[in-house]
Amino acid sequence: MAERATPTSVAYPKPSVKAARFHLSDGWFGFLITVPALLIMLTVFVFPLVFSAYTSLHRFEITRPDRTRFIGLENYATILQDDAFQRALGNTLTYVFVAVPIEFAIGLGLALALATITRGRGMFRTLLVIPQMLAPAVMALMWKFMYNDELGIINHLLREFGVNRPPLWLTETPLALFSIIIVEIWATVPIFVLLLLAGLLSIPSEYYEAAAIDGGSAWTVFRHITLPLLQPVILVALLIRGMDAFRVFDLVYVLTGGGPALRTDVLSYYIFRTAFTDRDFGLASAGAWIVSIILLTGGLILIRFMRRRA
Amino acid sequence: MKTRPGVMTLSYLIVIVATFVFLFPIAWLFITSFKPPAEVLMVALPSRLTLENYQTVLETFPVGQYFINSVLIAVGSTLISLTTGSLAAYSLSLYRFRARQPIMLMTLLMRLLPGVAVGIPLFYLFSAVRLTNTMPGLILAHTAIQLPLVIWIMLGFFEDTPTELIQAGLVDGCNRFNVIYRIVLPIVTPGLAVGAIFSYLLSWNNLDLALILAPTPRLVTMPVGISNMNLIYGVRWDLMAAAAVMYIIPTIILALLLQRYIVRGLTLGAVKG
Repeated sequence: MAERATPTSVAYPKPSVKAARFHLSDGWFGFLITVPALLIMLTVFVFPLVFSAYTSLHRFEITRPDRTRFIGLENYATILQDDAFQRALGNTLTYVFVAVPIEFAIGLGLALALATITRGRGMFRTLLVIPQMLAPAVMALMWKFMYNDELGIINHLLREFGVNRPPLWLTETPLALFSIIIVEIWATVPIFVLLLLAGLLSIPSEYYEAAAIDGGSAWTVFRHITLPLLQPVILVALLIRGMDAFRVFDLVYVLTGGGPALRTDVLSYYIFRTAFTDRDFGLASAGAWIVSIILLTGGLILIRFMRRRA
Repeated sequence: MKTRPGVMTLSYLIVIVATFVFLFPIAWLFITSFKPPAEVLMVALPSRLTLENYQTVLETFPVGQYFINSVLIAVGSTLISLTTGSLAAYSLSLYRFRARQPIMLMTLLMRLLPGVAVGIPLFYLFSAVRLTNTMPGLILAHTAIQLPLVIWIMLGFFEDTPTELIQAGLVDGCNRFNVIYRIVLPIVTPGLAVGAIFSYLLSWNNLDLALILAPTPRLVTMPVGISNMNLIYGVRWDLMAAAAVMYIIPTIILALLLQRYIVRGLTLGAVKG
């Protein structure tokens, strides 16, 4: 970035208008063409976050900005002691740590099955691409319809099979949270399948041929060849999907609205309510920052991990 | 390696059952939307197929308006994020400058933050500059969430472009913009298509920012509109199903167009190689 002068332009006997013009070094040119994207990201993404760090240290109401005053870390202290926040945090952690391992297990099984079959793999893969591209709001509505006690197909089938009082999926506790988790699993398993299948298919077949000659059992081959070679893909997938699940909002908003009695409240929804229902902007900002710090930590772990591989 | 026939049969069985499980809810939504309204309350296959629900929902709800809003916002934000994002990605893949690493780190971390964490301060800042409840405001907000995705998708494609071609262009007297326009862009066209489709879907599917930044009825997008139909008007599943099908048909078409590249987009280029 240091050399801006262009010795070549001086070498021309009669410098043309073009050659005499100020010449940018490659470094500066490279930086300048990132500026439009950079400006948008800074003004619409980074600046709001910095602003919310500021408001998280103030008593701040959306409707009465004139009453703003500095209160230090009081919002953080308040929110960490808030029962509703603790419940939202607990629910979010349950959500992540129940959903993601199950998604991974089913996804791996299904990816192995897809890698085994010889005909129609492309077709099945194409079909599996569809569900996870849908808007989470629509996924939530489809499932809300299926979960419905009178109109839903799930309880209809359960009654057909002789269950007299099938569960009220979205209004019973603690079932409601797990009903949302089921939708999350349904929505995310295909992503794991696609990622893991890509990983499986990139393992060179020589490894398996060598193992076959050595006479290893299917389990031995899986344990000592497939899993170790797949490990990087698995870790990245788990981390990324774990962080995505941690941010869950749409499914909860549409399926239960946090109910019954906020038993399915999650962090994103708690922050949303605090800002727009309770109109406590400072407290909501503190909550948003706690969630952001957790996720940024996860992100830095992910980056460090990817760097080590590279 | 030879696969035993039992394992093969089991694999086919698993794949077929799973495909059924994953597609059934979508199929059920389609079936419901074509049922005569009276039969929506019955859990059974329809006696006949009809477009009545579509007609009713278009007459009673401004679904057409929701749809147009969603399309305009998604197309507008995609155009901006694709143009600015691919320029940035080109720079990050080819040039070395001091801000390069921090920019890459920032775009990666941006993808991880929850929508509400950005949406809440953005709501306040947009109010201050009168951008809340405006189309440009929503387009700008969606552009910001698309940019990290576009940059990381395009980075992968630009890194696959041979630098010899770029150097040859410069030697032959192209300036740096001409090189981008005449040499690089034709090579990365598939990348631009992937970036465009993923960006489009990111905006098309977005609920939280649309909900926070544009609460006026005039600017309601499809996901917000459909959620409201359910949350406010209750159990009109017949109408909701028809609206939802109209909403997801473009998604399904794009998903099918995209399927070859989908793994790349899903991981943000992170698991590449």
